[in-house]
Amino acid sequence: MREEKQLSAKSAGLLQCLDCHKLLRYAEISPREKLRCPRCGAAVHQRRPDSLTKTWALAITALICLIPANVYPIMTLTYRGEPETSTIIDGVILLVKDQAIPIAVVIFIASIAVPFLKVFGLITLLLSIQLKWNLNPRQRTLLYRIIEAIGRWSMLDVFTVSILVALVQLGSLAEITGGLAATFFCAAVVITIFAAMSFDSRLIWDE
Amino acid sequence: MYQPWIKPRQKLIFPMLTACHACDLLIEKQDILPGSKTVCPRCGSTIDDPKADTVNKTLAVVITGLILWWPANFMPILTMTIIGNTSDNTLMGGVVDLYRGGFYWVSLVVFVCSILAPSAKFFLLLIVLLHIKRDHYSRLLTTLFRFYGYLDSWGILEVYMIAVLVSITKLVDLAAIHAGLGLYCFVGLLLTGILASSNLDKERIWESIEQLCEKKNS
Repeated sequence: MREEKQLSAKSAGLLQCLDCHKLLRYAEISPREKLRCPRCGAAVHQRRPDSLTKTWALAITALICLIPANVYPIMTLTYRGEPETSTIIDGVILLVKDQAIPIAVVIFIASIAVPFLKVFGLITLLLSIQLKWNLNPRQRTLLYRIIEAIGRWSMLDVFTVSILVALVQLGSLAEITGGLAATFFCAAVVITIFAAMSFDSRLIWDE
Repeated sequence: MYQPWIKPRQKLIFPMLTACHACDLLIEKQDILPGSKTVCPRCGSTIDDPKADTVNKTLAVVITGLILWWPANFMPILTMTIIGNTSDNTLMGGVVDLYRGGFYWVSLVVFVCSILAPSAKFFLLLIVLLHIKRDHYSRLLTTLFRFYGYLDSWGILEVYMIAVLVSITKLVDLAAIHAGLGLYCFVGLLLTGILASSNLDKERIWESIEQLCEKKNS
């Protein structure tokens, strides 16, 4: 009942600039034509163009990148001449064995749970819009905001590799080098951030 | 009962309206005092969160951050000692070593997220805020402040801070680890960055830029 009375900017013939949040009058131009915000100069659209297609493409790409990211070693530690490679999950297991449980939990959440949950969360949002699932739109908006906020924490493992590679450089005594998974993992994280950015949350509320 | 959203047949008074950036609901603009905020009645996103004296406060924090910028980026963050051999790392050193190791893309991403975006945010804010403070209009202002918005999701120093802690945990059995001067400045830079974005009132800054532009044109 209450929902029907609420009016969106789109149905009122107005549109909002996503960069500076100014509300603009929608000129009668074809939707493909480029409009610019008079205040900040950004390109404005009633809805982000091809938002769902782009988000699908990026989410699937990220999911593919996550497979080699978890299979290949992320770094190699050479300690007194003995090389030892470790994948992301090896790093977590090692920390659990060393009784560093809180750090192990942080790394598990940041580098394994968050990337997968983020991709599946985005796919849920996409499907809910395309298949018109009857889910609570307020909760879906909250899900989107969480996805947007937590994505950055996955960079934790990439940063750790960059610190360790620079710090542990003592030749044959102890040396750490990066592994192939670092590139894939980094790609997956960056692509999921772009996927979240290309998703237009206003589509959740459109009928 | 007061209902902040707009009913379909109500006459639309355009400048008094704003929309929710997350769900596109039309909302009446309200003048609220700093310390309180407007929340979208439909989806719960923050619409407006005014800050008191945003230009001066943010400018002060930004200048503090810029003083810490050089040592945070180029002084050793951690120093490691194994049997008398020492080595250290800097923010920039991590990028350089990844690049030398053949990880070109990873080094680019680490460079953007840990050095370029956080630094650019400080420099862009300094330029924009100084222009507003001195009532000086430049055509570049809108582009610069728009770029600040784009960099927001890429400057992730807080994640780097946790990565430093993780590295210490991983190496603590292997070697003696000491914090360098760079680490203290890095923490300072991180805190000033958080203070700057929590004191920054984007809506008010955009309005100031718009006023400067109108003043210039009239």
